[in-house]
Amino acid sequence: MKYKIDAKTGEVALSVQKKLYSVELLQGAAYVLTDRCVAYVEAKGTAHEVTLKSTRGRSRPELEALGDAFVNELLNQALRQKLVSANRAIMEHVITRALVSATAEPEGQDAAAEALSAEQQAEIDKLIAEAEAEIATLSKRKGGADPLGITKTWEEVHGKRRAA
Amino acid sequence: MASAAPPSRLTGCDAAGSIRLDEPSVAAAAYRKVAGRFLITNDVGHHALLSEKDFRAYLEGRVEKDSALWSELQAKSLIRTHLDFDKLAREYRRRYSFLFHAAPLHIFVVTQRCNHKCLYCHSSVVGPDALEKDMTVETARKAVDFIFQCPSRDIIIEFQGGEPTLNWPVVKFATRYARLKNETAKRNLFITMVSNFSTMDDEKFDFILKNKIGICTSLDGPRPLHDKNRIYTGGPSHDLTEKWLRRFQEAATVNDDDRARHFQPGALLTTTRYTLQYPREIVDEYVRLGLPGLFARQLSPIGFAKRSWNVIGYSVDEFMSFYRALLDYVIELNEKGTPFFERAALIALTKILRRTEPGYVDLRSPSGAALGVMAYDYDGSVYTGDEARMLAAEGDGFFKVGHVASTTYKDAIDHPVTRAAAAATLLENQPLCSQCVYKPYCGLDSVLNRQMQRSLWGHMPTNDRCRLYMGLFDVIFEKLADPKARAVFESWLGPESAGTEGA
Repeated sequence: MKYKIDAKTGEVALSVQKKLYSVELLQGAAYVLTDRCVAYVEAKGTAHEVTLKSTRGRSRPELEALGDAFVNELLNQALRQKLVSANRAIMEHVITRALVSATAEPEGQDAAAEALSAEQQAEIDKLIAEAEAEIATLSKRKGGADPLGITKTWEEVHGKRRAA
Repeated sequence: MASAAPPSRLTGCDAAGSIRLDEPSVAAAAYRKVAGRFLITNDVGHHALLSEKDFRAYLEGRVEKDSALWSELQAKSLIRTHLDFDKLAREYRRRYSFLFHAAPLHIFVVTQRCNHKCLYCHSSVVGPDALEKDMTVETARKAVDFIFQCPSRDIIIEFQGGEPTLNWPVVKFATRYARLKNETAKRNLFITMVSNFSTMDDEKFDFILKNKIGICTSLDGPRPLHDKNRIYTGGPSHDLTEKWLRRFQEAATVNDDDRARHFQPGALLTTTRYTLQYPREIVDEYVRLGLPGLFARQLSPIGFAKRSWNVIGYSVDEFMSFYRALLDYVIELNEKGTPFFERAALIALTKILRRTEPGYVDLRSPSGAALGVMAYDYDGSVYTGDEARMLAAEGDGFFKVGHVASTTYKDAIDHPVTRAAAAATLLENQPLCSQCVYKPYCGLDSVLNRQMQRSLWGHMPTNDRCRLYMGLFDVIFEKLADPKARAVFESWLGPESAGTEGA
């Protein structure tokens, strides 16, 4: 597949036959290279006219590398998409089997069985009271977790400087 | 001189145009060129590394039946005409076991206060005097009640902050209350805490041991590096970290299996620009402190890290150079007889070689947002994860899915944001990911996508997290092609259990 290079505009242009490459293949190849170029695709008769505008370098070697990468990715997209579509039915079958067999194993607990006894409820009330009391004691300590005030800013310690 | 063009995100086959695919014989879903060979994978996570000649023969249905290659591919469910669907369904359930269970991980932000001022802090913390940023006892009680609505058999409560020990009464209360509730709920309840150890004392230490709270701290490497990253006005942070790590390690050596399992402390490395020069020194420090491994994590531009990114941030390429050097050194140490693992590699290897779920919610499809993890902020707000909660602290509350006082667990799971995050991170819904050879092992993060690319879906061709994981998986598969490195990796995973044959 041949392409034309315009180093002034930083563009690579090529014509792709519709009967050989679908628009999905063009989109796939263009998406893979979106970190290197912006792709414009236009249908003209029996072909797609593709223009790749480089978003990186505009030198001739860089544009040649971009054109080569696009053509190669187009061919790889044809292979990749065939592989994915050939295996889709197999994976859907495997996943369905796996999911169906999993539905027979509910892991949730019966909420009623988790209800707390009166003794446990009393224990919880005691835990809450203990925690609240401890927090109250800690809060009363001067300076809290920073008794030396080492995290205070200059302004907090000495006040804001008056405007001159 | 023109710079070399970067490789395409999906590295292809140069001969793709001349390959005549034999659909009836091929059951691999994707391919990629790695280290001169072709890696193929299927959706349950089997893989094979083939020469270009074998790759072409495979796609064209020319692999001779009963050859060694055919047997390998058939055992790995890569030959379409010879698939065992019952085995594949079992493997799928094991590999994606997280799809069949509710969220096991519940992150409790008992306070946003912290006494450190780390350069990279993700948690959007406030100073130690801002007591209004503490979770109250009543909120903690409602959060525990909310957690027990979750139908998961395993429940992990992780106390975080801020520095959780600054609101110690609520840590104690939530621990006791959860244990008490579990007397009747009878779940597999695990309680853990991430602490910088700066306010640890004997009373807290005894409570942690008595109540079997797993402990994890931050260790950024040797003292100068650690103290540079983790600024603490109360003294050298590294000294306190080392002191209490040793105390917890000593407690874990008591001849009691149960103690060892619960109390063996862990440590987390956070990588800043300053870290990148010291891969060997960091590993040596972890080994010196008797830690079994480390987790080389890339810094995410959230919270303070976003604001100080110009100073402490780095590119994906810089991180990958650091990671390669670190992993090479870790493998070298193992070969010389020092067992030590790197956790990012271990997570990937668990998926690649054992095809089981490593329990890491950040690398799943769909993502673990709300489905694998929930985070409870100090004020009772419920988020789809800890990063989602941090984003809210920065002013973007998009990922809030409820409040412990007014929302049920079912409401949070049914929330439109939970569903949108799941749809956006399902790899089959992503044009690039759906064709990627690493799809069985990878996962997206909708919080980072939103933060960095202003979209839940993100844009993978320009996504740094995507580049990072492509690079990480490339390194792992390169190493797997080396028998010595592969032997080290196998030693980290331990013996294969039944049903994981034919990796």
